[in-house]
Amino acid sequence: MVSRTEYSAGKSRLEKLLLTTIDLARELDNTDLAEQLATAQVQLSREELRLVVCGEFKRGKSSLINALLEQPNLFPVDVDITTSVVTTISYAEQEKVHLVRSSSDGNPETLLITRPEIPDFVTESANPKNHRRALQVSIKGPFDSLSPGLMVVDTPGVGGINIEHSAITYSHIGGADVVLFVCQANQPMSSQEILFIERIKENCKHILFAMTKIDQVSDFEAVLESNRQKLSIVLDQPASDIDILPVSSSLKLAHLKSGLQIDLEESNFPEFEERLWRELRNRRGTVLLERGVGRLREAIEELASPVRVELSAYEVSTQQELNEIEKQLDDSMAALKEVQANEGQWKRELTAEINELRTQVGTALLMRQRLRVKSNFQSYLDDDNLIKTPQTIGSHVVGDLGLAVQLINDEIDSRGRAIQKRLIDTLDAQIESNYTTRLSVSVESPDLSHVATMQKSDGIYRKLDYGRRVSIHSIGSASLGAAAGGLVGAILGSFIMPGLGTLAGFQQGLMIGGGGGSLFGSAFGIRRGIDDISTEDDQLRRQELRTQLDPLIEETFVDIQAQLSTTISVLSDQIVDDLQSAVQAKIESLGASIETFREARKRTKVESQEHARALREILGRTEGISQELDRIERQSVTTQTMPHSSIATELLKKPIASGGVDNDLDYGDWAEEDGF
Amino acid sequence: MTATDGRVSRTEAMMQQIKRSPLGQQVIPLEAAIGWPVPLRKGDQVYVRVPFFTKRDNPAGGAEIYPPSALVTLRWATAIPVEYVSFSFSTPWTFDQPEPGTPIGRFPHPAVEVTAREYLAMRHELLSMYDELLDTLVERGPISGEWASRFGDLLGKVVEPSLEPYYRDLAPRFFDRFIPRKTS
Repeated sequence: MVSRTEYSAGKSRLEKLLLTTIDLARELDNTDLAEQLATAQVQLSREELRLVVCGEFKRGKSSLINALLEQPNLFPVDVDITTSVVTTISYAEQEKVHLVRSSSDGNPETLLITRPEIPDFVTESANPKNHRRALQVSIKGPFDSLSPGLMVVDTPGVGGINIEHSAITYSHIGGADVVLFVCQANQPMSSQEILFIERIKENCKHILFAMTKIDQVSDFEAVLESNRQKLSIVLDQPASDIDILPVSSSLKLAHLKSGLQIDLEESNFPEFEERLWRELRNRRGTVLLERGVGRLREAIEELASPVRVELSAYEVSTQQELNEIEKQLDDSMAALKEVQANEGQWKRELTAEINELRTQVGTALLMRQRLRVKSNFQSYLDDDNLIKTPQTIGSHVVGDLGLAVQLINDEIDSRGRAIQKRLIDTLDAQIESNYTTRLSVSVESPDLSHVATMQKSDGIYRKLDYGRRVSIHSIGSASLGAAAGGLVGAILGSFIMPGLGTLAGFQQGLMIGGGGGSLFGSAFGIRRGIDDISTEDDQLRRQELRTQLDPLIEETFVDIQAQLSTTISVLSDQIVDDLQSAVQAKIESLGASIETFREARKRTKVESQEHARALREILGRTEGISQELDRIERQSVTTQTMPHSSIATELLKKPIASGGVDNDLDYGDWAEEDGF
Repeated sequence: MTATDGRVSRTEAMMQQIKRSPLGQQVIPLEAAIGWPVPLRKGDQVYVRVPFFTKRDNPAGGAEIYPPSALVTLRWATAIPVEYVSFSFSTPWTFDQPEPGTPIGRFPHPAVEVTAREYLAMRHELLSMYDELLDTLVERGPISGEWASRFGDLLGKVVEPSLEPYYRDLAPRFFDRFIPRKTS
């Protein structure tokens, strides 16, 4: 473990490297990258760390945070359903609670509220169906356990009835530096929780585990061990290395009320807190430096990759080889145009796949889930103990419905991706076979006299920009085996990139918008119906529950089916759009490559040598940055402590108004009018 | 903030954040470029309207640009999007449009005689001035003529000439205030 001094030294070196790379990116006209690096630099200098607390619903996240911050009533607990409001908690000398909500005209507005008002916005009972349109609560206050720069983010539970909760939680995991995953001692981790952790792992490598409610079981060790074994598989680590922190929030809260030492000891909170904060302190420096180093590595690759591709063009040896490259490029263009002209073929394949999807998910899976929910409902009714608490049965049914939607959602997401991937692979294979079969390169003595460059004064940046664009989709083309093949492969690239990201975001958004609303309606219907059941007779209870819940379950599945049908249709359209755009973009990109390549061949040997020298100089700079990153990683990836943020609020404003200078002062009234 | 200190302004960070946000990933095409923000004040709230337009890189250098395709409005205080408008659905343009798929101009425009480095410096300075402008709109403070002159000068230099009519349709008073129309 390195010292604080070593951390500071690493940070300082990283900041310098960021500035150097920002300069290089700007020099190469990659302004987007320069902007992204500038953002990374700000984050590094502010030493911000986000701890996102998440887990399935009803796992005790809110109680845990209350106990951790020693604020028993900060978040309401034991409420039926919490809303989809995300809460952030951070340190400030004076307490202030801000609520961001959607105003009556649909625009978000920030209100200063008081702590006792928080439940009015974040609980379903006080804010049914979120009619107060709360979006986020931000709590700042003198929480001694929170160090400056650390922000705790409390997310809605996933896996419950409301898909929107899951979506909001997932969206926050992307910005997490460390995730605290909350599970409970009275049951082993479910397969849904394991899936959830798999998704977290894709976005955040620092995951801590807390196991709550240890006071509710006589022996939590068996569950703890079972969880370790499951996590060992999903995290690919030995079970003995997986640290799950057992804790009882209720005992800690009881201690805060009674002052009894025994409650505190049995809560295991002292150890939990000690380990949690130690882990955060230890990981903080690592996380911040890793984040910066990782971003810089990506940036360096983005800058160096096109330069390498272009250099390889100058290192191609013979005239014959150059002829071959040009011919391959022309052949590839012909193949691409053929794909474009015959799009009916892949559209037919797509239609078949979509029809299959409709059958498999829209009919079969939906049917299975419907039967599962109904069968579970029957088993709840048959249970002599459960029937005495109709509300519990209602909660179970609501949970089953939520799980059904989650499973359907996951299935359609993964099948949609698979369909698109298959189509892309088919198209890629068609294009690749078209040029690889004609590739035949014989290497003779080096001669670059016919490969030249664009004018250095302005051309280098243009050409590098072009190279960057084509290399993003590089597939390597190992099958070609020669420099020429590699170059064509890199220029031609793959279809994979353009579509998948858009598709995933689109699909998720659509399901969230649809399914969540109808399910919420059902959940409320179920609860309202059950509230009316007052009979003491078990048989009558069964009958009434069946009368109340059967139609609501059916209604929910009708809603899901309608939503699914729309989703699949739009998904199909989106895949078509993505692939058409990808083919067109590839044709344009390849056309540009051919043009540039032919231009380059016209240049003189002297010019090409000069340009190659400039490219090697750029590569040398990127390699220098990479080596320095290696050194930082070796020396400064862990640290014991972190200094408090030293960045004071910087007053950047120069005088926007010079009082009294203007006779006709402008108060920005022009901003009131909206031309559109 | 200065033009060369490498830090990003709030406006710039907000603009970058849009494309990375769930909304941006869902509705903004990957190839879309971000246009110049337009301030908007409604009641006590100040918003930033950010247009997106399609840009296709040209291997000979620069890029071809197409009319704005979408508009995202964010609240300045929170950076939360409050409105998304797709111009493929309906457009606010008051003048005849080119055939779909026809570029309307090039970036950089031949008339814009600045180097890439100069352009970036102006862009950074202008975006930091946007921070000041938006904060001042929140406070309803006065804007000095000197400051407005510098802001308008920079905006006039960096706005792509072929996009200017579109910007004027989106926010006539803002552009008239800072880039007065040329009288023929």
